[in-house]
Amino acid sequence: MNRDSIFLLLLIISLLGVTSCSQKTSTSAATSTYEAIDPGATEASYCAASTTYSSPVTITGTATYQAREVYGSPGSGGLGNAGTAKPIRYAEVTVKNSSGSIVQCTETSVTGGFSFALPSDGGTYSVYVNSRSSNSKLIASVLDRPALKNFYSISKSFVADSSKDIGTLNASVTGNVVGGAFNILDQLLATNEYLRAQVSNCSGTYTGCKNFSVAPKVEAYWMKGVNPATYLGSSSVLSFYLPGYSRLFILGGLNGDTDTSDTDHFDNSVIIHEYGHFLEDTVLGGSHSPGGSHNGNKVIDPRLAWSEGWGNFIQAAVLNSPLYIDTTGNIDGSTNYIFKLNLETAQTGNDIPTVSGQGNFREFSITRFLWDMIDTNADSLNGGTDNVSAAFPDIWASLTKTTQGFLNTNLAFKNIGDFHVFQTWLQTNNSGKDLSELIKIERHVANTTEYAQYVTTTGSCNYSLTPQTVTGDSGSFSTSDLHLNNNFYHLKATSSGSFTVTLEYSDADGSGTEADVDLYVYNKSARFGTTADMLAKSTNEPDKNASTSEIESATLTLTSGTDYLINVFVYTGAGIGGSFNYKLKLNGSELCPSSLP
Amino acid sequence: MSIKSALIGLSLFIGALLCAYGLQLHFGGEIYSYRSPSSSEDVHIRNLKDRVLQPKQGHPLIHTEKLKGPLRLTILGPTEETKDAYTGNLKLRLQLQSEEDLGSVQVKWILPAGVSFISGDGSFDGNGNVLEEVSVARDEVVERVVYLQVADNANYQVHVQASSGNEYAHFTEVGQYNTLFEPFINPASKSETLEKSTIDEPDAPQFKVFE
Repeated sequence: MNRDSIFLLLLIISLLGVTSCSQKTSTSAATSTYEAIDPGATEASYCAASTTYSSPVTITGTATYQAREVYGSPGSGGLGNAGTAKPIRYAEVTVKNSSGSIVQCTETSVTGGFSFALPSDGGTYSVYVNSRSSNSKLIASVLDRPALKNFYSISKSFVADSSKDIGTLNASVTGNVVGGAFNILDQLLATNEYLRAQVSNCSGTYTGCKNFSVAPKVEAYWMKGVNPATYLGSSSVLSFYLPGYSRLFILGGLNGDTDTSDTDHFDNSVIIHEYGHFLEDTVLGGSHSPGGSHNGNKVIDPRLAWSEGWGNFIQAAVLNSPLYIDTTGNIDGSTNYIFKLNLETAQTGNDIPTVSGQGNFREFSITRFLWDMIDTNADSLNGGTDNVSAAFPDIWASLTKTTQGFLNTNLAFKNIGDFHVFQTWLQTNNSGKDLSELIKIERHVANTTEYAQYVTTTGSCNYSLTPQTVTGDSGSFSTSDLHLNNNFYHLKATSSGSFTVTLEYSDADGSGTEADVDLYVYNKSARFGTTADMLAKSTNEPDKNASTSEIESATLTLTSGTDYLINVFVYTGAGIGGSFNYKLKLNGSELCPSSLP
Repeated sequence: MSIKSALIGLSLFIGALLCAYGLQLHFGGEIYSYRSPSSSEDVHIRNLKDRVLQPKQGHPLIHTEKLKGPLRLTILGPTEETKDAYTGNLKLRLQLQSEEDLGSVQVKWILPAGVSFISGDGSFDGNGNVLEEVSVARDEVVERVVYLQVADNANYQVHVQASSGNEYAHFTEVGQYNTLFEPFINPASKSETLEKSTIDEPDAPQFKVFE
C-alpha cells in the first residue's frame, strides 16, 4: 500500500467517524422478496364469452356453498357446524369437453343457478363453478397464493345427450374446505350489494357524492391450513390487506390445521373488515394508515384508528349486526371466540374514551360513532343521546367527495378529525345530519386540532400542551400517549430546498419542573417512533430553568408539494414536567393553523 | 508535518468538532441535530433518553393487521434439534404477557389424541384439555408448565387458548406447538403439493388436494 492509499484510507476513516457520530440508524430492506407483493403467476383469463350451438341441449344446475356458523357465547361457543347451503352468486362457470378444452362459459345467477347450451352429441362434459366473479355485481378472484394464482372450483361431469338438470354442486366446510373460498367470495359480494343498496345514487342527495356501482378488482388469497403472514416473512398468525396491491390475505389456519387453529375463512367480520381496507385504498382515495398491530382497547395513531374503525364499521353495516366476531378452530376440533365485541354498548374494556378528544385516537370509538350514524337505537352516554339513523349516505358523501371529502388530494393524514370537518360542512351546506350528540357520546373533537392540523406560514399563533402522567408510560415511543403527550401538524412544502423547523417552548407559569419537549419531522408515512420515517429531529435536554425558553431546531430538505408531519413530543422518561406554551416556525416564519386547500 | 498529514489531522479535528458540538449532520437525506451535553450528568441523561425512547425499524411493507387482543402467548419446548430425539416426557412452557392488567385469564391446553397430560399447572378435564385460571399483570411474564407424554414419533399439534374479557368485550389468544416438525410453516414448501387450477389441468381432481 503506498502513501497515497494510506492517506485516502485515513481520510475515509475520519469521515466514517463523523458518520457514526450522527447516530443514523435507518435501514432499507428489500421488499421484493416477499411473496405478498410478488407479481407471481398470471391468473387464467376469465371465462366470459358464451358460445352458440345449433340444435343444442340445455344443461341447468345449481351451485351452493356451506359455511360454518357461530354458536354459543365466549368460553362455551365458537364456530359450529355447517349452516344451510347458500347460493354461489354471480360466479364464473366454465364447461369443458372430455379433452379439457373450454367449450362454454357462463355465470351463476343470484340463486346460484346456471344454464348453458352444448351440442347434442352425447359427449361427456364437466362443469366448473369457480371462485371468481367479473361482472356488474362483483369483480374479485379468490386465489390460493400470489406465486400460483390458482382459483378454486367445484365441478360435476355429465353426458350431453339431452337437455337436463344436473342437480346441485356444493362446496363443503370439511375435506378441502372449499366452502371457505366461496364464503370469502360471497362476503365480498355482500359488501358490494350493501353499497349499491345504500349509495348507488347518493349524488341525488349530496352534491359530489360518488355513486357506487361495483368495486374494482380485488384478489383475495386463501389456502386451507396456511397462515398468509408467512408471505410477509412474519410468524404472526393473521389476515391482512396490503395497501397499494389490491390483495387481501385471509387466514386459512396454521401448519395444515383448520379445526383447532385460528382461521378466518368463515369469520365474516374479518373478511369484510379487510375488504373495507381495500375499499378505503381503491374507492375512497387511499389509506393513510401506518398499519400495524392494534388490540381494540388502546390509544393508537388516529390514522390507524380511523382505518380500523372504518373496517370494523363496514363489516357491522354489511352484516347488519352491532358485533365484531372472530373465532378460532371449529366444533370438529376445539373452538372459541377470538373476539366478540359489542359495538353498541360502550363498557369497560371496550375502547372507551376517558377524556375529550381521546375518541379520535380509539378505533372502536370511531366504529361506534359510525354505527350510531346508521342504527336506530337511541343509546346515551357522556351527556349525548344517539338521535341519528340511516346516515350511511352522509358517511359515503364525506368519504367520496373531491372537495370537502376524503378524495381531496391535499389530505395526507386521514383521520376522524377530517371526517368531522367534512360532516360539519355537509350539515351546513347540504342538509347533512347533525352529529353533535354522537360526538358527545364518543368524546370526539370535531376538527383536526387533535391530530395533523394543517399549518402554513401565515399569521401568528401560540400553542400549548399540558403533559399528563399515563399508566404504563415508560418514556418510550411505544408507550408514549399520542393524545395527551404529543401534538402533530401537517406541513405541505410550497417550495423545495433546505428548511429549518423550530420549536420554541417555555414553561406556562415559569416555575416548577419544565417539560422535556422534542421535535420530530416525519415523512408522509410517519410511523411514530420509526427511524425509517424520521427525516429530522431535535432532542435537546431542557436547561432545568423553568423561567427560560427552550429551543429545538431541525434542518432538512423539503420537496415542494410533499407532505410532512411535525411532531411535538413530550419525553416523559425523566418525569412529566409542567404545562408549556410553544410556537412552531419554518425558516423563522410562524406555522399556524390554516384551512386545507 | 506534510500537507497530507495536516489534511488528515484537519478532517479528524472537524469530525470531532461536529460530534462534540452536535452541529447538524446530513447523511443520506436524513438530518439529525444534537446538542452537546455540558456535563457527565447530561451525558448520562442523554444516553438514558436514547435507550428509553427505543426507536422502531418498522416492517418494509405497510400492511393492515387483523384485531388482536392485549394478550400474547408463547409456547416453548425442546429445540428443533432435540425434538427428533425425543423419547420421554415433553415439557412445554407457556409464557403469557398482556398490555393491560387481566385479573382472570382462562388457559386451556388442547391435547390431541396421542398426547396425554402427566403433570404440571392446571387440571386435566378428561376430554383432552388441561384447564387453569391465572391472572396476568400488565407487562409481566406469567409462565405455566405442563409435562406431556407423546405416544410415538409422529407430529402432534398441541394448542393453547388463553381467554379473558367480559360479556361486552371478549378476546382469546391462541398458540400451536408441533411436537416434531412444522412441515407447512414455509408456504413455499406447499407449492409441490398444491394442484393447479382445474381450468388449467383438465385431468385434475374436482378439488384442490393437500397431501
